[in-house]
Amino acid sequence: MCFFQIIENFPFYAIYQNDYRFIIDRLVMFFSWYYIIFLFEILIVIIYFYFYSKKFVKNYDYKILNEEIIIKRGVFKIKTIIIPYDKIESIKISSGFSERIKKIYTINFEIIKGRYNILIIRLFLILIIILMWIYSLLYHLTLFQFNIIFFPLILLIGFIKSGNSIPGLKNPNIIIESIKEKMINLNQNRGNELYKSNCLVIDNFISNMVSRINEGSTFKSSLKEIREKVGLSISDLAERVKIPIKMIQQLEEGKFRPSLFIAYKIADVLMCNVEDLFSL
Amino acid sequence: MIKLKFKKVIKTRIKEFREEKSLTQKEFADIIGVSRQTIYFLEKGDYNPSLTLSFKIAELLDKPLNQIFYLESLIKIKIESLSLKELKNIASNLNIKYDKLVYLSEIDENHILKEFNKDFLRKISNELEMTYEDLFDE
Repeated sequence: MCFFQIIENFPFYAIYQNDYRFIIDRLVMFFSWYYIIFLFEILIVIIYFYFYSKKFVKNYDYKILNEEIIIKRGVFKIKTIIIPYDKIESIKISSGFSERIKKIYTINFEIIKGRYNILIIRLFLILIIILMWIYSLLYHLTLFQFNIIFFPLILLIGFIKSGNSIPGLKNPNIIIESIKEKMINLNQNRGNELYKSNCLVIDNFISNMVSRINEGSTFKSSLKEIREKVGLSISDLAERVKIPIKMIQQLEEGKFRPSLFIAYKIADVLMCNVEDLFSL
Repeated sequence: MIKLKFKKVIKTRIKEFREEKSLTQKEFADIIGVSRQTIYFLEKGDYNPSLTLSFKIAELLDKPLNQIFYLESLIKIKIESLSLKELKNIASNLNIKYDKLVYLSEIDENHILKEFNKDFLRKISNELEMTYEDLFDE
C-alpha cells in the first residue's frame, strides 16, 4: 500500500459511493496500528524533551577560567567537562532550526576527540535506521509506513549535540571575546616559559633551520682552504672538535649553518678567527 | 700523546657594548629581529646563538666577533667566582698554596699536564664541586 493508494481509498471517496459500512472500514484502516504508533511516539518525544530540557537547564553550568573552560552538564548522568584552551581546535557559533526562532546561539568548542564521538553516535543511529528499513522491507511495510514510524528517530539525529558546547546564548560574542582575551594572556605567559634555557636548544635549532631556508646559498665558508693550509684531514678535525665528519663536510660546502659555539671550537683548533672561516 | 683540554663556554660582552650604544634590550631585539627573551639569555650566557645571528649582532655593534663573544674555560670562571677566603680554604684542603690554584686559571692548556698531575686535577675538580669530565676534555 502506497501513499496514493491511501488517498484513493480515503473515506470521502466512500461517501461518494454511498456505502457507509465502507467508511467504518476505512476509518479503522486509517487509524491502523502504524498511525497509532506514530502518534504515541510523537507524544513520548514531546514529553521526553519537555522534561529533559527542563532538567538539562537546571543541571547546566559553565565557568570560563584562566586556563580552561569547565562545563557541567547531563540529565541522567552528570558530567563535568574540562576543556583546556590549547586543546581547542576551533570555535563554532551555530544556531539550529528551533534556535533560530528564539534567536538563540550555541558555541561549540571543537576538539578532535569530541567531534569523533558525535560522528560515531550519529553514524550509529543512521545504521539503526538502515537496519530497521531492511527489517520493514522483509515484513512488507512500505517506505511511507516506515517513515511515519521512525520519523521521531530521524529527528533524534538532529538533537544530538556535542558535549563541548554552551547552548542557549543570546549574545555569543561576549563570551567568545572573553575567551580570546584569556587565550592571548595564556599564550603570552607560555612565551616566557618557552625561552627557559632548557628549551633554547629547540630555539637554536629552529633559528638554524629558518636561516637555512631564508638565505639559500649566501653562506660562504673557507673552512676547506684553511684546514688544508694547517694540514689537517677532515677526520682529524672532526675528532678534535668532537662533531660528526658529515657535519664538517656540510660546513665546507656551506650547506650547514653552525652555531657560534661550534664555529668557535673549529676556529680554536685551526688557530684563526671565526670571520676568516665563515662569512655571510 | 695525550692532550688535555679545558672545557670551554662562550662568554659575551653584549651588555657592555649595548649600553655603550645606549640601546635597551627591547630596541636591540627589534633591530635584529629576535625576541627580547633571546637577548636576555644571550647576555646571561645561557644561549648558544646561530652564527648568522652573531654576525648580525657584530654588525650592529660595530665590533669584531671575537671581542663580543669569546671562549672561556670553565675552571677559570669557577675560580674567578670564588672569594679569596674560599680559595684559601680549598688550597688548605689540598695542601697547596692558593697561588697555584689561581695559576690553574691562567695556564696555557698545552702545558697543563707538565705542571699538574692528573689525579691532582681530579681532586681539585672534586673540591670545586665539579667532576673531572665537567672541567677537562681529553
